[in-house]
Amino acid sequence: MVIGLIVLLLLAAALGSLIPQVGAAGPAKLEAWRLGSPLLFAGATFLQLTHIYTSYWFLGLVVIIALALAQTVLQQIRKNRLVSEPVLALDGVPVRWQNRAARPEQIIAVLQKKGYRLQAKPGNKLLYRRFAVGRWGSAIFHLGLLIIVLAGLLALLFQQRGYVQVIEGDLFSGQSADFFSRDLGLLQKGFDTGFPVFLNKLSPEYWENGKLKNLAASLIFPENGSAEPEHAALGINRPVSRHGVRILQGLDFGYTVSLMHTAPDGKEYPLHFMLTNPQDPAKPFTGNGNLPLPGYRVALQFYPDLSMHSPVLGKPILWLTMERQGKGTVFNGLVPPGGSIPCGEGALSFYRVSWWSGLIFMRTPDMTLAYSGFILACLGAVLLYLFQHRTISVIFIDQGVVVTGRCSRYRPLFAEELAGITKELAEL
Amino acid sequence: MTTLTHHMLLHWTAVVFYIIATVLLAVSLIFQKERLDRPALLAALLGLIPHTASILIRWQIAGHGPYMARHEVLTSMAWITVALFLIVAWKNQRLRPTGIVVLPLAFLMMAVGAFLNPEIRQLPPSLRSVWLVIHILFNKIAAGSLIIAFATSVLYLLKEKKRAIRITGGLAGLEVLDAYSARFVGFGFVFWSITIGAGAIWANEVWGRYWGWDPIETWSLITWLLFGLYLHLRHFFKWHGAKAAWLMILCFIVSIITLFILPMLTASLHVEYFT
Repeated sequence: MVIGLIVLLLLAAALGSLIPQVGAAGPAKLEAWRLGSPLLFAGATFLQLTHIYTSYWFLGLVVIIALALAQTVLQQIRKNRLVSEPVLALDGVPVRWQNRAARPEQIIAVLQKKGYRLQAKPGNKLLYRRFAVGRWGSAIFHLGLLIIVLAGLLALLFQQRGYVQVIEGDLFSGQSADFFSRDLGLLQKGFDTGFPVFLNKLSPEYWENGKLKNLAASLIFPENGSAEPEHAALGINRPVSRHGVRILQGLDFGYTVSLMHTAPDGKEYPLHFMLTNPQDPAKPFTGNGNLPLPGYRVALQFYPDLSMHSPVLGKPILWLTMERQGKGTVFNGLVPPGGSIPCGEGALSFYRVSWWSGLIFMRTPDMTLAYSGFILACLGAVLLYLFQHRTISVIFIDQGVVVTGRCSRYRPLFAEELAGITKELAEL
Repeated sequence: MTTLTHHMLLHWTAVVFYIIATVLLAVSLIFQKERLDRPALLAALLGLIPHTASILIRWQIAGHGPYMARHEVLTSMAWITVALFLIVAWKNQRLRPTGIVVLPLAFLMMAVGAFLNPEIRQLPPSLRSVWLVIHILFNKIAAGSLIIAFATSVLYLLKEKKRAIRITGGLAGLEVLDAYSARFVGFGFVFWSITIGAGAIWANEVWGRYWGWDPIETWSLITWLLFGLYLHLRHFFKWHGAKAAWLMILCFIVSIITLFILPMLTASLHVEYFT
């Protein structure tokens, strides 16, 4: 059964990395698959293969694994309690003889030198063991795994995670509906953080080659009723906690180019374009979107500096392409900061550059459980494979001494160790 | 000569020593000239000195440990592998012949790393964490011990089929080799577990989730499960000998895919270390 469960989990994990998954693959890829092979896609959707790790059958598999782990832990505990009793390892490996009787204190000295400790001294026998704690390794390891699985199940049911993109100087309400994307547990309906957040400033730092060196943000919590709004410094690897919600700095960020559309009646409509951060500093920040005029669409290519090789804001260049439905490209050229171009009956001006940042909000069940599981699993694995429990029985008989031993793993290696010990005993 | 040239010179010096050690071990094993074992180990140890110096120089230039970009990842993994091999060979004479598999893998990693991408890269902010050091260090120890387990499995299969190659020399017996293979897998399994655990805790600190089914995460879990399967099959179904050795080789290939091939093929949060 254990083997079957491991194989099933292996197959599920492998399938999940081969079949495009909702969230990881993105809607465009899934849509292309749906259009390319509708029957296959329908089958995969029916079997929940497009979201394996949150599917009901995977949940069922995880529950069965948890039950199997619980059973293993109980079995191991029962077995270990029996092993705790001093038992003669007569069925162990291998039985060695030495003909000349050695004095018990000499045998004790040899075994102690090898790290063996006396467990019991019943009658004419000496019962030794080494790494007695090692026999608990398997139980502790499987218990750790069980706790991790339970913590994973709790997260699957109760977690609240939301992602939002905020422009410098903007406020995020903290309302569930205002998140860009949410990742909710099966028993959660929404995610209200309970407080708004104001992105005061984003400060990316760059290396000389244009690669990101550091990313830090300054947040303000303008809560109702408080005289002074609270400030907090956020950074990658430096999350902020507030009222049970953790805020993490997302790895995605970029420039926001703000354009002002002035209508013929003089009314102004600000438009903010959150541009995509290029991997290569020699390439521009890009973005596109619709204008408030019907049929108008713009594409932006933004170089923060004239050098076209630096992501740091210097003398910026904005290359703007404007298209009108049915008329094709109506503008394609440079717009300087503060510059304006005609747009329909009105005008479009480039008035501001700022940063936008991805922020992650999460409220998850207590992680202590998951961490405890990891620690226990690691401790168990160390005990299981590095501190292997071994037992040696020394029996004094008329003809001399019989040495026999028992171990649960690496029997040929233990046999060699035992042979070495008996050889030493024979030479006493 | 610049410091960077010194670093590459030391790097290639180490490769030469490892090649010499491999040749000596091969001669010792095939022609049963066990007296060559010690000079072979000495050559490997002499190789480890410039190898260490090369890593330290690069560390000083880059301002971070050897865990960024292919060159650093491969050379540091080779270092851990050779160091582990020397400890094992020093403690157990009969495992010295594993060097004919371990050392070529080590100098192959170094050569590939030097040709693929020797340029220095800065550490992105997401990787600046103490968890990175724990995550990477344990992963390298795991990989090093799995390489030794792979070597014992390969030698087991070769020794079993004496027709293929004349291996008798000072190599451990078949049963013992098989047990050592399991032992090194167990050792690697422990450290692979800690790698996953440390990575998960770190992911929770940086990305707000301890498991995200990212391709590298998923394949790391698959590798771990495969090694778990190997250990369970050995323990409960008495899979020993050739069957176990072949399974170990399969597990090892999957671990190589996870560590080195997948980061080049997929879009993942993890790929930054191997691009």
